[in-house]
Parts: sequence; structure tokens; C-alpha cells
Amino acid sequence: MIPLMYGLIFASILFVIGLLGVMIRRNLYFLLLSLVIMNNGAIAALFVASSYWQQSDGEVLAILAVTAVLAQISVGLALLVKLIYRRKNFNIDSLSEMKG
Amino acid sequence: MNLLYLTIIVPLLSFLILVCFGRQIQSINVMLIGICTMFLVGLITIFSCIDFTTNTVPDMTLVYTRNLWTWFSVGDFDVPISLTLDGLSLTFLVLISFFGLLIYFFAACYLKSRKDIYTFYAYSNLLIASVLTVVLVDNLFVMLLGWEGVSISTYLLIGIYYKQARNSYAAVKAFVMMHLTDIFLIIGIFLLYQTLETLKISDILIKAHNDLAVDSDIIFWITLMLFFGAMSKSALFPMHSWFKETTLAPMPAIALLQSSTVIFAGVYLVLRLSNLFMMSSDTLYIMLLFASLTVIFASSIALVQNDIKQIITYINLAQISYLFYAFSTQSWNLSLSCLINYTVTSTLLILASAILIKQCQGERDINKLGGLLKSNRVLYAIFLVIMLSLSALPWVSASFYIKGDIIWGLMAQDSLMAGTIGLLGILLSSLCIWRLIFLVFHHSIKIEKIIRIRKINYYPIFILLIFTTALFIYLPLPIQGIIPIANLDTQGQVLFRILLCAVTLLSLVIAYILYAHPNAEVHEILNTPMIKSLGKLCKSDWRFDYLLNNLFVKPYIYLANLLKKDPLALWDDWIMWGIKKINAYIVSLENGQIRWYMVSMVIGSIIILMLLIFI
Amino acid sequence: MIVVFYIASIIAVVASIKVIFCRRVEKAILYLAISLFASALIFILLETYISAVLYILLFISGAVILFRAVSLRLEMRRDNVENGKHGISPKIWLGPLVLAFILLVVLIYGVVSTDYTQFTESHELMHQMSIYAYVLMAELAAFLLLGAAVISYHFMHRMLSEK
Repeated sequence: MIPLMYGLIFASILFVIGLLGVMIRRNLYFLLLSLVIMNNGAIAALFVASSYWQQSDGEVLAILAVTAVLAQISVGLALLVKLIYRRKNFNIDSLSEMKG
Repeated sequence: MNLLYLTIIVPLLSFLILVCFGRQIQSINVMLIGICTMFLVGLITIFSCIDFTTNTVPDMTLVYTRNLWTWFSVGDFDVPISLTLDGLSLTFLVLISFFGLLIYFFAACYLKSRKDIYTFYAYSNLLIASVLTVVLVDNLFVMLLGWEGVSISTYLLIGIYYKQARNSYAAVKAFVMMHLTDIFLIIGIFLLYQTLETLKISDILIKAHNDLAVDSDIIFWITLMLFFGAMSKSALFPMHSWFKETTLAPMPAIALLQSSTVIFAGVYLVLRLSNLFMMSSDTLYIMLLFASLTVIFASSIALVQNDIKQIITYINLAQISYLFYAFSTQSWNLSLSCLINYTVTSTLLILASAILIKQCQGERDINKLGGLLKSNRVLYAIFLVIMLSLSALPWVSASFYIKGDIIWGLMAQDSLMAGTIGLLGILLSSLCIWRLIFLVFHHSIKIEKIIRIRKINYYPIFILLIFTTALFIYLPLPIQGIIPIANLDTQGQVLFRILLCAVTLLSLVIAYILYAHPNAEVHEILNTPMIKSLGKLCKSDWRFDYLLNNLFVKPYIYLANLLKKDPLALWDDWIMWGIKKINAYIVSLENGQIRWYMVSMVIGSIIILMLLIFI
Repeated sequence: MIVVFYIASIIAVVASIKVIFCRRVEKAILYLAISLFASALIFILLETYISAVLYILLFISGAVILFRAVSLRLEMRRDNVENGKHGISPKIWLGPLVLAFILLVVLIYGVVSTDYTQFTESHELMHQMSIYAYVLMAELAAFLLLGAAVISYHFMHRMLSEK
């Protein structure tokens, strides 16, 4: 049996790696990949907690999270296509008109 | 009497109609509306009179009260709107409706410009409604409503010719003066409520009689504040400036303002609360002081003015103070007679001079008039009767008895100084009117073209002429039990009346010497430096405006200039500065870069996590 | 068993790090798949079989297929935003790295310093969600996916019709 603590540490490491990716990548495509990793960390935490308490609520929530991530990926990729169509590049920094 | 509330509603409705649609209505219809309004009020008044006389049981005073609705109630303090009619308010009601009708009728003949007509009738209706509110309500708080209505309509009436900037300023000045002194009335009402915990007038009188000591501090302050409030409406000396500004209004409006409505408000307040005022001899003494000041001030200025309107204004001002003489001697019934006499005389004077001015094509400088005797003997006769009333001609005029009794009351109270001033006032005002008559009607003719005035203009004047005579001195006024009736000491009164005759005769002689055929010696005396400087002083209203300007306006402007930059708020400028800096910084943070937003979110989450874990 | 967990987790972490620093698209997708499969292995170790299978079927296949399809469609091979010789320049990644490190430290500290015994004690107090909640959640997920599909269709509609 894997201790809860290890599982949570693993989940938080995955989450922080994803976050780092979101922060450093300027390419929208890779940014979306990093987002998937980040979400993967959150899903892992849900799985770990659910198996620790031997209750299936966490698993249900994890599946819900999976569908949410899928929806997010599809919308994000659609936005990526839009970005290409408008700006002819993948750089997320080119979208900086909305500022104060 | 159930229709009593209509006396307020009808003028108010008429005011609204004329203000909203006056521009579209033909002037003859406007006149009809105005006069019908007043006629209705008069009709209701007559009905009330009939009811009143038929219902009166001997040795009982009828007080008719009608509750309309409750205005508001806070806790156990509620302000009902209810009308009360007793002898005193009935007297005032009759006076207001009678003189209002006369003046409305006169205005219909006098005013020509279409715009003037509808504004005059509209604003006068508001004035009548407000004064009737003051007279009829039985609660001081509701009375305040009518009181303010009087202020507003005074402002509107003075500002009828608002196209000239001067008139607008005068209107604003009158409004400000009235409102400044209304503060005193409000303070007085608050004091009354604090001590007696009621604002219903009848309750106030009863409670004050039972609970408060005569000449105690609180009653002195209450009555003083109420007197100051009444003073502004009755134009006693320091508050008289609005009275002077009324000269800028058209003549019928002057008649309304000076003689028959606005003055009533203040006088009614004093008369209604006369039991309260009787409890404070100090206030009565202050009243005496102000009244004496006003007499000297007004009659001395009236003596040197050249403008007819100004002369009659100051003569009226001097007459008003006799009312307050009567108050201060506590002869309340006499003061009511004096009020009626004053109203008759001043209305007469104003209407007569209105005709005079119109006849001379708007020429108001008496030095440029003269010799009108030949062309208009009727007007001359009218002015003579007015003179008769003003100079208290013995045994013929009503004012001889009334003023004589008032001054005799002063003498009997051992206030010889005030009595002397009263006599002096009679002397001076009769001199003024003599001067007016001599300069306008005698001497050589200076104006060639004279406009014929139609007979109908004279009718209101003829009606009023009857009332100046001694036939009406002791009208049976239904005031028993409402205001105390003083009994004058009759010993020595005959001698005093002879003195009064002497004064009147003296004024005649002086007037004849000064104005009828001034010879060289008189000119010489008039040209001495002392008299000249005195005349100059009087001509500039005793430099009262200058004094006001220096005492109030200049320090106020200085203070305002000082405070314009708000010196107390300088220290907190850094708040504004800091907010601006922080704002600029935060705005620059929002740079549209998604990765930067992520970084800031991470920083925020680190801080929150640290707070959660370590604290 | 714990050894398998260690190996799988190390593989997942390393693969994730490779994903975020990688500059070739195919490589990145491959590493992502490896990372996800490693975490799926961990889920199987946690004895949540059905969910793990669902995870593999839905998430890994869905995500990888979506990413791959888009990259094929747009003919991406390399990351043409980062043009430096040695990958992403330190100017960009140094600050975020420090921040991420701090966050990681704080998170791990928080996880480690938690007293886990109190969770086991309150074990019995947990209550099972009702079956309706599960149905509701399934419906919610379905709606979410449907909405996402509609939105992405609308976004891509014009470009697809043009080509």
C-alpha cells in the first residue's frame, strides 16, 4: 500500500512541473501540454485520496476532472487554431492587447 | 365652515394653473381666474363669518378645529395637519381676503403687460395660500411650511421684472434675509418643543402657563427667538432691507407685500402666542427697543428720499413699528386695531401713489413733479385723507385714537423715551406725507403730458377711504379669550390727546414753512453743513448697507477666499498622491502577458499557502 | 510494490520535465504519453482499476489523439517560437523556476507536516454520496464535453470550411 503522503508529494511535483511549463513556454501548443501535466497532478491527488479512504467518491471526481480536462484541451486547441489563423504564429505573447 | 380648507386649496390650485398654463391663457382670462380665486376665498370667509356669529354663545369663545390628516409621526411626536378657526384667525382671514380682493381688482385695472399679469396673479396666489396656511393651522411646525411659502413668494414677487439683474439680486437678497432670520424661528420652535414637548399652539399656551415661570430664562430665549423670527416678516429695523427691496416689484405686488400679507405673518405669530410673550417682560422691552429704532430710522430716511416708492415704503415701515409698540405695552386688542388701520392706510397710500406714478408716465422723482393739483383734484383729496390718517388728525381719523392710545400706554408704563420717539415718529411721518403732497401737487407745473386714468382704478381706493375715518376705531373684534385685553389707565388721557393735537399742528406748521413756501432763511438753515451731512446720512439709509457689507459680507468673502483652498485638508493630499501612485503601478502590472499573469498567480498562491501552513 | 511506485513516479516526473523543456512536437507528445501512462500505472497500484482503465481510455487516448491531430493538421514539427541554440534562454526560465521551486517546497512541507492520524480517525464519519449524485455528475460531464465540442467546432468552423 502506498502511503498517502508519497502520493500527495508525487501529485504536487507533477503539478509544479506543469505550472513551470505554463510559466516558461511561449508557444501555445506547449503551454497546453503543460496544462495537461498540471491537471494530471490534480487527478493523481484525487486518485490517491480516494484509494486512501477506500471510497469511490474521489474516483468519480477524478473522472469528472478527466472530462473537464478533455473539454479544456479541445477548446484550447480550437483557440490555438484561431491564433494561427489570426497571427500566423504560435506565440502567446503576441496577444497582449488587453491591458490597462 | 367645513369648506375652510378650500381657502388654502383654491389659491394653490389657481397658482398651479397660472404657472403651468399662464402663457397660453389670454390676459383677461388670467385676471378672471385671479379675481375669481380671491372671490371664492372671500365667499368662504363670509360663510365662516356667518357661521361664527350664529354659533357664538355668550361668554364662550368658539374654536373650530378640523383635522385633515397626519403629516408624519415619529415615535410619540406626530404632526397633524389641522385647521383652526377662532376669533383671531377669523379676523386675519377677513383682512387677507378683503385686501387681497381689493388689490387683485386694482391690479386688473393697473397692470398692462401680459406677462406681468399672469406672473403677478400666479405668485400672489401662492402668497395668499401661504399666508392663509400660517393663519389657519394650529401647529407651529405646519406654520413653518406657510412661513417658508411666504418667503418664496416674496422672492418671486420681487423678481417679477427679473430681466434686469438688479431686480434679481434684490429678490435674492430679500430671500436670503428672510431665510436667515427664519433660523431664529426654527430655533424658537425647537426650544419650545424641548421644554413643552408639544407644538400644538393651544397646548403650548396652556402648558407654558402652567409649567414655566414668568420671566424665566427659557421663556426669555423662546420668546426672543420667536420675536426675531417674526421680526424678519414684519420688517423691523435690522431686517428691514427686504422691505426696501420690494420697491422693485410692480405696485400691486408692493401693496400685497408691504401692507396686507407678509406683514401679517409675523404679527399673527406674535398675537397668536401673545400669552407666551406676556410672560417675558425682557422680550417685550427688546421689542420696544427695536420698534423705537425702526421709527426713527424709517421716518428720518423717508424725509429725504426723492423716489415716491421709497418714500411710501419708509413711511409704511415707520407705521409698522407702532404695532410693536402696542405689543410691548401688552395692549393686544389695540395692536389688532392698529394693524387694521395700518393695512388700510398703507394700501391706500400705495394704490394712490401707483395711480400718481402712472399718471406721470412712470416718473417717480418728486422733484420733477409738481402742480398736479389743477389736473387731478380727486387724487389730491385722496392724498389729503391719507395725510389725515398718517398724521393722526385729532378726532377725525381712526389713527388718532389708536396711536394716541398706544403712545399713552407707553407713557403710562413709564417708558417716556419710547413714547417721545413715538410722538416724534408721528411728527416725522406727517412731515413726510406733507412733503410729498406739497412737492407733487403744489408749486409750478413741471410735467405737461398727463395720462387720463379711468375711473375704475379709483374704486378700491374709495372703499378704503371709509375705513380711515374715526367711524371704525372700535370695531367689535371677536377676540375675547384668545388674546388678553388690556385696560388702559384713562387718567390724564385727555391731556395727552391735547399734546397729540399739538404735535399734529406742529407738524402742519413745520411742513408749511419747509415745503409750501420756503423762504431764504429756511434755505439758509437747510444749507448748513450739519443738516446737509445729516441729510446725506439719511439718504444713504444710515449707511446700513455699507455697515452690513463691512460687517457680514466682507468677512464672509474673506473667509470664503481663505477656505477656498481648504487649508485644513492640505495635509491629506498625500492620500490622493499615494492612491495615484499605487494606481499607476497597478495599471502597469496589467500588461496583457498571460505568462506574467501566471507568475503573479503563483506568487499569490505561495503567499496564501505560507499563510495557511505557517500561521 | 513501493519500489514499483518509486520507479513509475520517477519515470512520470522525468517525462513531464522532458515535455516542458522539449522543442520537437512529436517528442513532446511521446513524453506526455509516457508520463500519463506512468501515472496510470500508479493508479493501478492504488487498486482503483476501473477508473484507471477509464483514465487510459478517455484521457490518454483522447488527449494524445487531439494533440497529434492538431499538430498534423497545422504541420508543426518544431517549436518555432524558441529559436535559441540551447533551448529556452535562462532569462525566461530562471525566475519561474525559482518561484516554482519555492511553491514546491511549500507544498511538500505542507504535505509532510500534516498529521495523518487525524484523517484515519475521522474515517467512519465519511458518508457515501448517493447514486443520484453520480448520475448527476455523469450528466454534467457529458454536458461539459458537448459544450466543448460545440465551442471548438465554432472556432474552427471558418478555417475548416476555407481549406
